[in-house]
Amino acid sequence: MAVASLERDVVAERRATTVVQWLPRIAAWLVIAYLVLLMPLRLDQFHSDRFALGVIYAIVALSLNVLIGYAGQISLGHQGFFGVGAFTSAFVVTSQGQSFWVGLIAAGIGGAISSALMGLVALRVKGLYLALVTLAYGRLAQESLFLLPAFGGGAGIEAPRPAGFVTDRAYYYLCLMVLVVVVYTDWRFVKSKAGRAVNALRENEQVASSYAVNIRTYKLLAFVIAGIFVGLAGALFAARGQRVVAGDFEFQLALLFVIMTVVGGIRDRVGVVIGGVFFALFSDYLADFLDKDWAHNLLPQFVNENRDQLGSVVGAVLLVITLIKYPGGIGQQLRPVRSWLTGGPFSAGHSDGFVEEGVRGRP
Amino acid sequence: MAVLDVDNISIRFGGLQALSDVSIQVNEFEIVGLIGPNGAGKTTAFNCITGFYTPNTGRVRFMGEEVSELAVHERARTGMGRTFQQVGLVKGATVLENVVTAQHAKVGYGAVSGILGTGTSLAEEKVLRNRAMEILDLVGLAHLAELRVAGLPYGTMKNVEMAAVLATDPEILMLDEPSSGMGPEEAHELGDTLLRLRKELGLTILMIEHHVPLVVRVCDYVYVLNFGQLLTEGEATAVQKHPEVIVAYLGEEAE
Repeated sequence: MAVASLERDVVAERRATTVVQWLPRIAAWLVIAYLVLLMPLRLDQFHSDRFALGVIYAIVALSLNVLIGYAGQISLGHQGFFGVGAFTSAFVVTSQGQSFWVGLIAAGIGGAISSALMGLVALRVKGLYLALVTLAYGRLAQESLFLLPAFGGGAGIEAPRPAGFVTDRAYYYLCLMVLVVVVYTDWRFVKSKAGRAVNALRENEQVASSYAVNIRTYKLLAFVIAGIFVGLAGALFAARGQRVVAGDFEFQLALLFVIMTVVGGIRDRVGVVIGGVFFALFSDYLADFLDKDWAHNLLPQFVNENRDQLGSVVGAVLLVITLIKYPGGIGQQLRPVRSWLTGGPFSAGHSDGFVEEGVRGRP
Repeated sequence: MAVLDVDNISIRFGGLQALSDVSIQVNEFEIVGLIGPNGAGKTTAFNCITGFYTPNTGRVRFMGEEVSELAVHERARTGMGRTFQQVGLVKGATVLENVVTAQHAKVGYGAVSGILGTGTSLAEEKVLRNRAMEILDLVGLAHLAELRVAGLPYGTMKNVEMAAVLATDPEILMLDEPSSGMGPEEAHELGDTLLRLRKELGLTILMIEHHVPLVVRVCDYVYVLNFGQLLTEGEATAVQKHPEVIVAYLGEEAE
């Protein structure tokens, strides 16, 4: 019975066919394209600088999504891998005199290696204990690795931008190009053999191995891919600030990364990208907003006095709401919009069947 | 020729001797039943054969090769397909995705070229999906292809699991209580399916099963386990009448 009604839902999902049905959708796509591609040209440069950070965080969120979402491995030390990417690229460019592009590739490799080392740990340690190991790794990187003399010994190291992308606006487009490559890679990963294997081993290692999936190999592969993504993001972050110091990679950053990924919606590519952008831009634009006189007068005094904490409070509240009410995060909320944009009806679609892992997902 | 030759395996967990000196032989195209009361060690035997457990003593030979040292995924690659008592599927994925995932060992392209999206990998993805649809057709589930497994009724999940195991292209099908959660009619249909699979795909089957009519109808040979030991073996009808088997299932007669 239940199956028959599910089948009807599938049939009910009709696609738009006529030109008239497509027109509003095309218009919406044009608006999105304008916001992403053209609007930075019309705004002041410093907006582009903020957007660049948004894109960088989006890449980090995609990286964490590979670990948390696909492989089911937690990382509370992601700011460590992020920093490895940043310092590797800065070192290769500044100390070794290589081009930015070589530095970018080196950062990807550096991120992959450091992440794979963590993957080797993850083969033996699971759950809470793995979280603690990753946390310790992040601290270790921050307190010692990033203070090595080769990395400027605490004073940091310069990370110049490549020729042609020196302005904030041009640099934003460079970050965007890397994001496109990462999104493509992530998409192909999920749609191919490796992604399916990782997905299977997250849900059930026994079943995955009885499908001839080598659990160790594919778990490590997930760490390597996540490491490449976050390493690239680190290199972009380094050249965005044009200088990297160990203090840029505090533990709080790792928490922010996890929160933005979960709130964005794990296993949801569009959701985590939006989550990353949102958390990168939120505090800056909130500060702009609170600086306005009318906003200042409107809000109660204690909010104005504690405005620096407002960002973390909103993050925490969003996390709790996500975990309790909407385990699919922002991505799940936007599903009707996305269905509509791709020619479907404005609905969340049939039997969306999100396997719950939040509070309600407990056995 | 013996497809599967389990030679005197024993395994202990702490103070519990879960299996002692169990030998099982499954010949080509045979359907062999493994029965016994709860806790007799049937699933433990499956786990030793497929590599989830390493027996303390004894060897497993499969298709004439020694596989005792191989890991689970390596044994799966040699053609051991198994199902699980608690439905072994990726429940968050769709039916079709599960059957495609199960073809892991059949994929010709490497993991990296898949991630890069090379032409050959894209072309092969189509082949994998088509093959998955063929298998779903074979077990009559093609109409459910796009549905998530998590939302399906238990009996349907069992059938999907069967389709997924078939997709691994197994030489032997090891089924752990395939009829659990099924009514008598569905169990009868399952019997038809198994006999048809053997005929059409030339499969060899080893199954753990409680449903006696099903065992009697499809099994050529039956092993009975009790407290980790082989109680008896033989043809289904003979085993059914064996006094020790009756005692094992029903308990001793009161004095």
